[in-house]
Amino acid sequence: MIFAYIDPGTGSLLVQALLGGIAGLAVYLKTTGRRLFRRTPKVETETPADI
Amino acid sequence: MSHFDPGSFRDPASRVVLRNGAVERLLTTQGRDDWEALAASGLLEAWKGRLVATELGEDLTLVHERMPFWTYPYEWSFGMLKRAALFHLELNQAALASGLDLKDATPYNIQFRGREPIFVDLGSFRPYRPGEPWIGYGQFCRLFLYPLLIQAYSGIAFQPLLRGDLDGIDPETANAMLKGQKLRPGVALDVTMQARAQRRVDAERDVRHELSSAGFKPEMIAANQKRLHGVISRLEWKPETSAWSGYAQCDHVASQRQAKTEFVESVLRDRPRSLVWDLGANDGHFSRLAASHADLVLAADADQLVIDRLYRDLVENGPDNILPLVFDLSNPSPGLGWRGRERQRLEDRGKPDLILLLAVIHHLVVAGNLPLSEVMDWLASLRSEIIFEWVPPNDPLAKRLAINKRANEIHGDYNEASLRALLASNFAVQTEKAWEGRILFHVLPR
Repeated sequence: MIFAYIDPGTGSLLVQALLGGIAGLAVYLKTTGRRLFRRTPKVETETPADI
Repeated sequence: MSHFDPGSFRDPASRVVLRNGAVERLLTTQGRDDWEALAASGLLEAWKGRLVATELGEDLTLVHERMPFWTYPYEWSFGMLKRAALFHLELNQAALASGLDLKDATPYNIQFRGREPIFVDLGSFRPYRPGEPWIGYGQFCRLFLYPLLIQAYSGIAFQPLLRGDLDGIDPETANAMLKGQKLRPGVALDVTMQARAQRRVDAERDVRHELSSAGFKPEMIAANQKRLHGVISRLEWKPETSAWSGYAQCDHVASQRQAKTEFVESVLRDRPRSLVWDLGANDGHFSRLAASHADLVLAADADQLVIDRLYRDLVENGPDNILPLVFDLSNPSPGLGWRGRERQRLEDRGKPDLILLLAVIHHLVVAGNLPLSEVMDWLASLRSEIIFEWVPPNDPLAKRLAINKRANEIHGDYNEASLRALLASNFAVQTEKAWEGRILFHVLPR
C-alpha cells in the first residue's frame, strides 16, 4: 500500500493566496516582502552643466 | 507472517501491514478519529466501488481489499494519468463537501483495477480544519498537473520524469520545460507563478497560519480544484503515429494473427487463469483473448502511444479486466524510493500464472542485445506457464532490426539449437507449432 505524506510547498500556498482574493493577496505581498506600488527612488539627472 | 508494507511509512497516523496476504492498516488514536470522521461522512457509501473496500478490524485496524495488481504512475499512459488526476479532484471535492480534506494529493494513492481508478489510501482523509488552504495542491501539481502539461504542451513523455523523481517535477523544472507555452491554460498561474513564489517566499514565515488568519475558506479550494479540473479535462496528447502504432495493420501481423490466435486460444481454453501478463501487447489483441479466460490481464508495451490507445479503447468498449501498462522489458521499473523498496519491481508485485511473449524475443536479443540465455533465465525465474513465440535470426523482421548491426554484434546464442537447449533445461514443452520459420511454444516451468 502506498502513502505519501507531504510537506506542502510554500509556493503552492502562495498561489492559493493569490487565488483567494484581496485578503490572500495581502498575505502574498506580506510573506514575499513585496509591495504593490514601490516608490521609485529618485535618480539625480545629470545636466550638461555638471560635466 | 506479517510485515510492514515497505511503501507505507510516511503517515504518522496510519501504517499498512501485510498479514498472511491480507492488507491491514494500523491506526493511531489520531488515525482512528480521522477514520470515524470518514465513516460518518457518508463518503464511503457514495463512493462505493471507487474507494478501496474496507472494514473495521480489531484493535485500531482497518482491513482493506487487496488490489489485484499494483502499478505506478510512471507505468501509466497519458490518458490514465489524466483520468487519475480528474478522479482525484472529484474525490477531493466530494470530501470537502462532506467536511473532510485529503492530507495529500498523489497518484500513488490511486490504483487501476483494470481500466477503473480506485482510491486506496483511506488514511488520507481527515476532518477539514477551517482556514486551511489545500495542502495537497503543490503535490498535485508536481505529480499530476505538471507531467500532463509537459506531455500535452511540449510533447515530453512524463513517465521517465516520474520514474526519475518520486516527488514528481518541481515548479522550476516544469517552468523551464514549458518555456514558450506561458499563454496556455494552467501554465502562467500553476507553473510560473508557483515557481516564482517559491523563490521569493520568506522562509521564516508560517504561510499556512497567515492564510488561515486572513480568512481562507474551503470555497476557495473548491474553486481552485474546479478550475484545475477544467484545465486538465481539455488536455490532449494524440500524436499520429509512433514506432509501433501501425503494427496491427502490417501485412505480416495480419497474416500471422489467425494462426497465433488459434494456438493461444487452445491454451487459454484449457483452464481459467488468475493473472496473465501479455508482454509486448501492442493493440491488445491477445490480451482481449486472454481476458475472457482470466481474472486480470496485464497488457504491457514499451510504446506509450499504443498503450494509450488501448486504454481509451478499453474505457469505451471494455472489457474491464485488462490493465494497460507502459513497460519496457529491457528497461524495467526498478525498486525505488527509501531503501529501494517503496516502489517495487514488476516481478515483486505478483507472479503471473501465464505469460504471453509473442513476437518479442527478437526485440530483446537483437534490438536490446540481451543474450538469449539471459532472457530464458529471467523467464524461468518467474516460474510461470508461458506461450512463447520464437522468431529466428533469418526472419524478415529480425533481419530488419539487425540492419545496422554486424553479425558479431549480436550474441552467438541467438539460434534455434540454443533455444531448444535452454528450454529443455528450464521448461517442459507442452506443444509447439511451426510456420513460416517461426515457432510457437507452450511451456510449463520445470
